[in-house]
Amino acid sequence: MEEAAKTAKESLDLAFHISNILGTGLDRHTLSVLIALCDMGLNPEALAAVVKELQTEPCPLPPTPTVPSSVP
Amino acid sequence: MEEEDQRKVTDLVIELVRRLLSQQNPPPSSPHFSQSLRYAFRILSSRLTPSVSPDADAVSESIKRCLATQGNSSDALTFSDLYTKFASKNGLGSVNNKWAVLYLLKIISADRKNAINGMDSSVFLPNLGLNDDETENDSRVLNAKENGDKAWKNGVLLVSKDPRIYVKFHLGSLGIWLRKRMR
Repeated sequence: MEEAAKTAKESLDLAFHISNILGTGLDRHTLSVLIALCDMGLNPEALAAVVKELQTEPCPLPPTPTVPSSVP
Repeated sequence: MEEEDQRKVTDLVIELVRRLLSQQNPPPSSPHFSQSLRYAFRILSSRLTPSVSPDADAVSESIKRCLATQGNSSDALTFSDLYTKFASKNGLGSVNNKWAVLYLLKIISADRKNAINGMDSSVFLPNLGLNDDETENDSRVLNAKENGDKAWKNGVLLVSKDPRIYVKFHLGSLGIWLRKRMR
């Protein structure tokens, strides 16, 4: 188990370093969540689309009828 | 996918959305979080199959090429070293779908660069006619040359990240915005 934990930490460290070189702007914790989702078989293109939409935009989503507008 | 795996995925997606939204300032409201979560699940359930083959070496080569062509040869070398170590991690605790992680990082990186380049061209050069349909008329270039050296001073060259590969010239003193397709 200790070996597995060590391997997991080292893999995350390497992935985080790669992420920083590529300038993705992802913090370590978010990256670990994304790696877990990739390992569970989710499509990386779809994950990247979610990150792109939610990473910086404050209110990118279309309005829904049940949500009242907060803009005065 | 088994029920337990489905639950794990749900929890991870909730955590992902929470972390992405927590980077915003001001922090989003609870309705916004719910909307974002529904949106995330919609995207994830609509794109089930990636458009590339699951080949970590191929993705790695692609990333190296990108870094090298951008002039970041030292980054390309560093990346190559990191990838070699990353790929060598196997067994318990290692990343199984290494190709997916690399591909994910590649796309996010490209998206951010495109967003930054898009911001540069629209924010810092607001008065330029980027949608000018006349920009493919090369005679403008010839006319500018005939008007003297002034036409070519203070020019700004922007290489578009547009996959159609447009090279945009701004002839500053004349205010001409010329766009020429390069393929």
